[in-house]
Amino acid sequence: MTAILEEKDRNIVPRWRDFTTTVELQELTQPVSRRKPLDRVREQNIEVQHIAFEENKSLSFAGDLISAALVSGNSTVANSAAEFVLNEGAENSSEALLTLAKRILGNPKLPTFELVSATVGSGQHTSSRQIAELRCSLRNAPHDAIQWMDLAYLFAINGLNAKAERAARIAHKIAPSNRFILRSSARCFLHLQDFKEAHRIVRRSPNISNDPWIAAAEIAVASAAGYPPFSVREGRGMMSSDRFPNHDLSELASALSTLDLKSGSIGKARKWLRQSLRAPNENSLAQAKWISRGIFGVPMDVKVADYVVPRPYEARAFEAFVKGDWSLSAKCAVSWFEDQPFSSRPAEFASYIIGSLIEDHWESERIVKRGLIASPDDFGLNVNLAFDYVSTRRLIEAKAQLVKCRQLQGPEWASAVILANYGLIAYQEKDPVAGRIFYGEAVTEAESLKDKKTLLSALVYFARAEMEYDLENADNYLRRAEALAKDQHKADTERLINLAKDKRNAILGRNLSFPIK
Amino acid sequence: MNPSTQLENILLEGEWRVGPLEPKKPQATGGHFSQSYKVINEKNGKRAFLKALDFYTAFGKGPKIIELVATLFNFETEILNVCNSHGMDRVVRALASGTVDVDESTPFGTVPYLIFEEAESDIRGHLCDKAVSTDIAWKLRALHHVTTGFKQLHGAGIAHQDLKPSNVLVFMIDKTLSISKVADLGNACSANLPSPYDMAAWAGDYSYAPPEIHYSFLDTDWNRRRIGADLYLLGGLLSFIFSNTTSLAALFHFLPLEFQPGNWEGSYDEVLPYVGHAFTKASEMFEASLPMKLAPELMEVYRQLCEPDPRKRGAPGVPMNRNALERYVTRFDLLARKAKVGRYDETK
Repeated sequence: MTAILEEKDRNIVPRWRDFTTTVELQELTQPVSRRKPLDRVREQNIEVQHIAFEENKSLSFAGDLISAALVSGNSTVANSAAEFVLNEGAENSSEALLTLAKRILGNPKLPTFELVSATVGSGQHTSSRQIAELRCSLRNAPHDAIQWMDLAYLFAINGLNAKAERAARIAHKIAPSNRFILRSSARCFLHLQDFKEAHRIVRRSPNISNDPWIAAAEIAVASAAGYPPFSVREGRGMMSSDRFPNHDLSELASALSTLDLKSGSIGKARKWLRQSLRAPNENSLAQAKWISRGIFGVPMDVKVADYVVPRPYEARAFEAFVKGDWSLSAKCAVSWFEDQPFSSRPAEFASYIIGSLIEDHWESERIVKRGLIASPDDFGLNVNLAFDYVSTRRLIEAKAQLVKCRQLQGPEWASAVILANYGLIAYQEKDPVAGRIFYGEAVTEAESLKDKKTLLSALVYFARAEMEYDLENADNYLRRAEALAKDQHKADTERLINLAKDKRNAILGRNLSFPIK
Repeated sequence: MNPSTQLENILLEGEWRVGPLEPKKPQATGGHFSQSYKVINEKNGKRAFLKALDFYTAFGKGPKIIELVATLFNFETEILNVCNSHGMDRVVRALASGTVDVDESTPFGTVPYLIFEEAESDIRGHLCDKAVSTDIAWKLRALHHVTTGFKQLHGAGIAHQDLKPSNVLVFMIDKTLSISKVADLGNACSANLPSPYDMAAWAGDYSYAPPEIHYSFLDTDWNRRRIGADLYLLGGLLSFIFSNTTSLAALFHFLPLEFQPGNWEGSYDEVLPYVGHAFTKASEMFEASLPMKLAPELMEVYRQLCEPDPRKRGAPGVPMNRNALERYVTRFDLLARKAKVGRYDETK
């Protein structure tokens, strides 16, 4: 039995990504009110340099022209010089000159620095190399706050939390008012469970009253940490000021909406939510999706397909989950995990779908193990790994993993899930008597907690294990589970029950499969 | 007729014979109002370069322009006199200056002029030579000469403000020996003399200007602002000599568009983390362009000179005078000597 997928409180805490990705997602642009029209073309000597190149046709004159053209933003004047450089090739031209010549000719896009690493497929090896490169770079550029923050990110992905904390602190010390550093460090400290520090960082920002991205982070971090938010008034002021484009206000509106929902001001919450969806990013879209699932009784139909936002993985994963499209949900959950590889939540979500609902325990194990690198003490991930081990009949590993789970601080339902997994092990060891005792205790534990979802899950897995020995007894458990499921109307619980019924049918050798989504 | 174009064949100061008028090329602000000639010293056969002030063209632009052109010319003459009086041997000297009456009947018939040493070429032209472009010792020696020239200027309270490849002139002493000198003091600023550009954010070529200038960050401290900018220009020249690209172009290449000048309306301090990160990347690109054995020694200098934060630019550990060039003069001299004996030869 896997960890129970709880409908946790969601706050729109800042995403934490590497710098290049954050730039590409336009989360570091300046408020438009402070922006003036592009005015880069000042009085230049480019014409002189162009003539000099045409007269001399050499790399030095070409380089001079290319450099001036790049600075002025007028690349086309240096096209012939760039072609000349590329014709000369690497034998005669420096790497820097070749790079700039290529930029002039065909690649107007800025260079990207492929940082990450922590795609689910890649292991620690790649990250270790990148960490080594970043550290080497930082030896020469110790004041580069962005590099420190990217290093903290890589450390966090690799579970090196103390090092991540140190790197984030250095970054914050170097650039204490920078938006990227502030939001990333706040998220870093949330990941490290240091809520006080996470909140202190954003709260003390000098830009909290004039940067909606920082105000949004402050409100969300305060909510996540259980502190009273500091910048609500400033946030509302910014929302009504017409100083900022909708994209810059989306997270702030979403944070205010969440805050109002929690305080019961549904009308205001709905207003902010609508505003957050005018030009959402993936984070505010996921937040809207979470709210729209009716947690607070606000029915709003937010369809992910209606919004063109990059990386809407979380929102889409939950949308597909609610619809029972397990394949799409799993795919999006894995993408979400790749996007936020330090976070345990997407890994847990993905492994629940892939392990429990799709029953691909090898794939689930792979994801869980990747998630455990960053969050080695996460109860949900650890117990999911134990379940993957039991389900693939690696009982020695499963028992060892459950011992670890017992030592971890888990949620209320933790002991019920552990007991259920011991029960499954006992059944795998052909000891139904012990299995019944463990599962029975798991059910009792869930009943005492009045936790219907845990109870339903325990009953379904009890029934599945019992089918091999006493079908009538198993049917009793399954019927109880079905009765509980009627109240819940959740696609995943229906799926769990249907999988159990499929197994029952297979055992009976009859083809009475229930329709499964 | 424009009197400043009528100087051919005139004998100046009894020794300088003016040659034919040089074809006019498009130039920056000051150059619009001057004419160029080759001149020859009839006494010693020395060739030189004459710059004649063109009041006639300036007149067409209005009285304010005439005043500006005259002020600029007088300032350049004064600065050149200071250079001569200090014996600055790594700055292109004015060999003579004065006025010549070309045609008294026309307005502006008296033409002011300056005669400069004539160089073989600017450094770009010299680097066209394959042997030179691969000669590390020559490049380091050229940097040593230019740094010495800057040190001489700074010692007299003059900030050049317009160092670029075309303003580094190479003079051949013999077939193998050359000297590089700093030219064009027309955009300079002086700590001691009032300069026409004292109130301007930047008088030189913006293509080479330090990044803080592009963001209109102007330090109130003259030394940090003007001498600090010279240090950046020197770093830019170092970058150009070894990679044929300037440090500023590399910086802008790595700086995302939203943080580039014109798109960024915040303060320079606010954008510095992004500029600093781009500088890290630009430095790594430049390092890859250097000979492997030389890179560690030269990169330290590059990072100090091209540091985007003007308050941190220059030599660390010298808080009272970070911008002093003595240590760079010594460093380039040492590196050039090492290169001369093949220390950085990749084949060894």
